[in-house]
Amino acid sequence: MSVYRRGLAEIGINRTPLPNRSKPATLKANINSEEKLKNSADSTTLSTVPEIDYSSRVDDDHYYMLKSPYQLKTPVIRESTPKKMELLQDEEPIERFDGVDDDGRFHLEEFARPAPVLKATLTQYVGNAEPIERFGGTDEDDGRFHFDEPFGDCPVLLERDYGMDQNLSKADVERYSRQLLVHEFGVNGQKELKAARVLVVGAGGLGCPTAMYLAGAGVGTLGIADFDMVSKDNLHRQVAHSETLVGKLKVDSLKQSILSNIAVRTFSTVLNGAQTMDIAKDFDVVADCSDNAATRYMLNDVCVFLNKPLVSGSALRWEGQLTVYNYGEDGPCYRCLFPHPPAAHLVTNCSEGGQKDCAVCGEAPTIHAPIDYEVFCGSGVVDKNPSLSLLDPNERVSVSEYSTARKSPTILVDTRPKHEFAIASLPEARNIPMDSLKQLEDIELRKLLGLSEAADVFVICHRGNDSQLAVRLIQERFKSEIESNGFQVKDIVGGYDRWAEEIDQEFPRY
Amino acid sequence: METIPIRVLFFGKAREIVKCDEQSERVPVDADYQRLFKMIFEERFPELKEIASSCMLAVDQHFCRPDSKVELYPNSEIAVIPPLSGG
Repeated sequence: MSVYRRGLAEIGINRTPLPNRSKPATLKANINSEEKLKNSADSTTLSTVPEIDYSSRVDDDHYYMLKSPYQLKTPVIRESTPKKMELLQDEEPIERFDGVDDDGRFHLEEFARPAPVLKATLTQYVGNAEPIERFGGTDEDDGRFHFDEPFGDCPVLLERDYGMDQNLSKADVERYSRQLLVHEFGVNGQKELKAARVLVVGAGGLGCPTAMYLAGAGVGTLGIADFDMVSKDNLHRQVAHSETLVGKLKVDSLKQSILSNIAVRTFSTVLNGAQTMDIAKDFDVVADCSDNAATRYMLNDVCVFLNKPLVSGSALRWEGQLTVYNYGEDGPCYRCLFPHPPAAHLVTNCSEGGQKDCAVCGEAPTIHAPIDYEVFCGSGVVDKNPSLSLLDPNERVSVSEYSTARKSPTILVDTRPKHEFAIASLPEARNIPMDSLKQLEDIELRKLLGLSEAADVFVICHRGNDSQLAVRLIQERFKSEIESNGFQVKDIVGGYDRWAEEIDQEFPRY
Repeated sequence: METIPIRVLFFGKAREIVKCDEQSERVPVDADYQRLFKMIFEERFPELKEIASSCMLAVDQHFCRPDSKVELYPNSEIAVIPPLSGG
């Protein structure tokens, strides 16, 4: 039930503006008081309803259907009897219809009698909510029910009793029939999924399919958090993002791919611990589809503090890992399995091999509230390729300095792996991958580097990190030659990426 | 001490460092988690030392914790699993 209530703000905010109409109708947002305060804009009177050709029909099931003047979740009108109405007050509308207002009043045909019950308004399409208000009205013997209120609050009549689960609508049954037929899932599975609120953190390679399939299957509320924009090199795997939205926020792009019947809440910010606590408390499950260690530890801790299960996915190249953390009484958390963040450059105490008591969910936890995860992990959330600053400025050249230097004879060493070199390279570049630099004998390496040519050596890589390490390595290995021959070994700041950005826009970036 | 053959599988960063997917080893049949950990990260594959503290072992597809009971059988799989953070 909470499902749709959670989605209200979203629905309200995204209401499509309605064109002018001569006779104003009022769209009341009968949202509950708390939300009413928060979303006071929703409570305003919409004085416009589109000038459209209202049509209506009676279908085989004797439903009277009205075309919607509203673009959003439309209310339900169903045939009923007084007795049924009493019994079915809590039932959720199954199908949404639009209201007709041809003279400032809402009209229902024959089937609407007896007096309809307003169960939920457009903006408060809240599943099985109590009726908010009963409408009085008259039957003016013209075959239609006339409301006393002039109104726009589209009434909702309760349905006939088909013995359906009260949490699933006719539309749900029709849409989800294939999974309802899977007996392990069935009505109960669908009902629970519909009541579930899932927060997907990361709208990338894992977040896209996670959000799309959850929405497809009929999750109640979907939260999507990501601060990033869609880039061209996302498209090959983050298939929910369309080509036309490159450069736009991922959360907005992904939301556009989500089926229209799902309530979506988006959070386009770099999440910190406190914010995440606030956001995650409104969800039942958190899906970690993030791409960095700091966010992973943060989501873990938040889930432990809030006692929510954490479904964690991660993938790199040909490998993937899917784990459910903090689930059930004995379920371990991420920190239980990985107490120490990955820190490749730190010398670590090997015999330690893990801790017996988890710092966040153990017997005597030492962490009781979110910490600074970037500090803890020694790596950032935003900067995926932190730049190394190993060399002195006089050991480095900018791309424009190199573009001048290459007019004279120089040696350009390209330290990228062979498969990257194969993507694109400068014509004068000689490929000596980092591994080879480290492993080759001096004599071979000297030949490859062409040190006897006595020209200055420049080192380039993709973004300018490995090239610095390589310069240091070459300097150390061939110290005496460098000194005696008087040439220099320098790296090119920012590598090919900077070259493509500043010198040659035709050079492919990847 | 009776030893049995086991398979050590490497994933993610561990695979990159060791440069192979899998190695066969022999270990004492009664090796516990700490013993396995020390054997893998210090004795057999010392190049993994730098990532040891952030790695965990899984035995026959079950994640282990430092105090886990480990039961080894001939050809048991010991997986070296570093955290994987890509998304």
